[in-house]
Amino acid sequence: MSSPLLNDGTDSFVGESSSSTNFGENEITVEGSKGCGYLFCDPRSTLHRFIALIFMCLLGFGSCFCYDNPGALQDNFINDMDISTAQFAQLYAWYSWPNVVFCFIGGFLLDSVFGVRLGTVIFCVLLVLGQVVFALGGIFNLFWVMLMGRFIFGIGGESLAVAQNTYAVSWFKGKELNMVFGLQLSFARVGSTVNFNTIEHVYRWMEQFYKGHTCLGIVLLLAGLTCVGSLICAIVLAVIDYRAEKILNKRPEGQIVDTIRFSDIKEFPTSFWLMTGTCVAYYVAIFPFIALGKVFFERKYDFSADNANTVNGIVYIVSAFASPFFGFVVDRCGRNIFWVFLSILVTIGAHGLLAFTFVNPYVSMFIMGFSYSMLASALWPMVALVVPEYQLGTAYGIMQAFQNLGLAVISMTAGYIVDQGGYLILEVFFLSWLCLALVMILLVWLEDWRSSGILSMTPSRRLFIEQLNSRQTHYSSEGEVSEDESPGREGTK
Amino acid sequence: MEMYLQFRKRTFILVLLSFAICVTGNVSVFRELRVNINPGCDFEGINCTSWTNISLVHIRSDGHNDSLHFVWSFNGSPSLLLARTPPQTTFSVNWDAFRNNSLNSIKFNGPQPIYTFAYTLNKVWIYNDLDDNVRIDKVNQTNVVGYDTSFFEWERQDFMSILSTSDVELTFISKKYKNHSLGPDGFFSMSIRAKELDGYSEILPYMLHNSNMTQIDIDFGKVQMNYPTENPKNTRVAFTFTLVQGDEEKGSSDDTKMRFDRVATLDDEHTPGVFSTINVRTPIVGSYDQSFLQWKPICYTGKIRDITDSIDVNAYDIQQQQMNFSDMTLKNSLLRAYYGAHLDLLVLQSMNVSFGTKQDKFYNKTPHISWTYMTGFGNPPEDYVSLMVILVVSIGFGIPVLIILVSSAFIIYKRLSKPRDELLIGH
Repeated sequence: MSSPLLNDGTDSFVGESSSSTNFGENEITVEGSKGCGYLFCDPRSTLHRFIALIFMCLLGFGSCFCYDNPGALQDNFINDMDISTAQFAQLYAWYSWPNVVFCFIGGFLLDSVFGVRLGTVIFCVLLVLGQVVFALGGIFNLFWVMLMGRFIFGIGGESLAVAQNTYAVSWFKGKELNMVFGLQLSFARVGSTVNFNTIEHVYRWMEQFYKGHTCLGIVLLLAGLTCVGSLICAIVLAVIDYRAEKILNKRPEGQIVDTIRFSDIKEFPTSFWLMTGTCVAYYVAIFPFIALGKVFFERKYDFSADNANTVNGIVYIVSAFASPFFGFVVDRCGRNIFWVFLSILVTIGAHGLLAFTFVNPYVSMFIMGFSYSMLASALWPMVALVVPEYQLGTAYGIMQAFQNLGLAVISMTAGYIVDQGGYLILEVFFLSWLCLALVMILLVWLEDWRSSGILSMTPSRRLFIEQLNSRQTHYSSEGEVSEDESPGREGTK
Repeated sequence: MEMYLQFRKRTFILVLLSFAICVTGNVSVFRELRVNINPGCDFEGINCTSWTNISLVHIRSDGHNDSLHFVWSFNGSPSLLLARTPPQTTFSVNWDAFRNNSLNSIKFNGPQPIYTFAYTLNKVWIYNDLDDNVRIDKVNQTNVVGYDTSFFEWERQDFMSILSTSDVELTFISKKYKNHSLGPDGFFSMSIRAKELDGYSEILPYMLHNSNMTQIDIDFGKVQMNYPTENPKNTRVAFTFTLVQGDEEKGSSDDTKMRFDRVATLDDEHTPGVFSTINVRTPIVGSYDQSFLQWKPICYTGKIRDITDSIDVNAYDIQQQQMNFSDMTLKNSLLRAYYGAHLDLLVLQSMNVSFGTKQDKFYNKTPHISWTYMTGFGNPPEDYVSLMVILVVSIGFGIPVLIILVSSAFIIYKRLSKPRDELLIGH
């Protein structure tokens, strides 16, 4: 699930880049009393916004639930559709392929073409459509239809994440925003975990009535109900948002990130490209592993299907709780590079345990969950530290595009490796990607040490440096001391 | 000082050598293979050595100090006699006695065998697994029918065989049971392969083998046995082997009996998805005079083996078996032909394997089972991690470590050589 990039519970990059964060307070006076009607229905009341928040969070539940349907039913897919592991892995690859492009287009479509309300509903419709097509592929035993369904689902899923963020920025600001992003991510992760823990039971229950690929297709249709739920949330949110806009006379929400300008790419520093490399190399050792994990746990550790699924879902549930926590820690302590480095090292340890020992996989997966959360909380904000604000949109778009590209290619490669070389070779493959990520982050560290050192600083020091820089700028340009500070990239501190 | 350096050099070479040995696997003794099919075969004055409906194959693997004999009989129940003898020992068959199923019709001449081990595949079970319980011991016994393998009629496939000093491959196919055909396309085939050099087999599961062992590939395809009632829909197949050790007399304690080991392995390079190996071993003290049967708990539901068509091989505890004089199979088998009356004093153990996984739609889905097992002398070989994996892991970890070391050294050097006041302000 590559969407987490934009909403990893940290405060340092989004919201502040938009110039339209103020809304509502200076406009229309409230009519009537602050009674029950106000509490529930006025967009300024906390309760009302909390209700909107709930719908925003639930928006992502369906897509995360259905994203890992294949992983949780891996052996059923392989047996019922009569496919190899390599073909199975394509179900994940085809989710990622459209998003190499859509991470650029999605934001643009939301802001300039459809607007966030209609856009969200459209993406939810795509989500439902994709899952239905996917299920039909199962019912009619046509694998290519399944791949097509995953493709459509992918378009909807990733863009929906952008929509979620846009809504969040529109309704919350300042310190609240970080909490909201964290909550959205946690809900998404919970969705993934629920999938791993329930879908196998649904399949077994359905097996009493149908068999084989028909059973599989119907189970996928049932899973699609969560996407319908997301669609309902999208419609409700659209209504609430429309109402809020009318009452508060808001300006339409500005873009969460500025226009994507490909000309910016030339100006990106080396650190940024190395960070992108780190991100890709790390994520391809996590998500394709989870996709193929179930059968690995069944075969190597003799786990039952249920147990294997539970263990597989641990990374997600741990991340649901650990991401906000680590977000908070990294915000307080800074030194992002160190956290990234530590997390990669720990993940190498976890994969090493899985590859070279028979230690209970619960241990490794817990460790992996924590280190994954650590990395997500530390890596994405680092981009904001090396790339100027007005280029952030393009930067994140690029990073996400490469991430999806990496996931698509490596998912297929991983499936092929399992068929030809077995799981030890697969783990060694993932370990080598993690070592590559380690090399990249070391190079970032070196590059950072050579230049500004900002990535290894604590937040207070960063602020100090920035204030120093801005005072120097004022001194040199006007010869007078000015109290204004240019808004730091950290903004909210 | 010089002695110390020499000691260090020697230790280093030793470490390197042991690493090389560990990496390259078992180092086995050089042996030469010789095959004799139906040696001295005589049917009422006619030389029957090349007849394909009689098969007594003597494979001999000669080393410097001893000879390993693999004597295969496909007269009825497929049987194997493994014997380790001094190099001068020869092997002979009294064909009239052999055809009459008399005692001691085959023997070793000269110095007698140091060690023998024999077994026969004496029963094929077809059972109707109504509730998909997979294991034969969980099925209602009224649905289980056993077939004595001594009634299979085997044809040796000479056109497919390879007989050289480094490589022996022979295939035997049976299409008839008690004069009934095994179905329009049904066949039961066994291929035996012995190789001189160590290495991995060319067919799935790619098991490790060396010169002390033989690989047996069994194919049980489209077989329709004469089932007493209507042909079962939920068919499953199982085999029983009867095992005997040459000097294992009755009344001996339990810890000298054959045992069943499931060895877990980290490395599934050669058999993707299979992380264990099953060994049935004889626990005789002394690393050489042992024998074993070894297989991976996987079999395939097609003649062309594919990982997507694999199902489980289920193993059962080894059981004691009484010699039953009315049991035709044992009476007519190679065991009796070699051990003779002495067989009554030896411990017989039976080993069962069945094939199937839950929800695999039973034998009738394809219907085919391909299974491979190994049998041989000494310790069963253990899989080793390939060089590629070791290389990748070393390089993968080596490069970051190198970078860390070099850059730390560089940074420390820079820090030390920088004037102090610059450090206070930062860059």
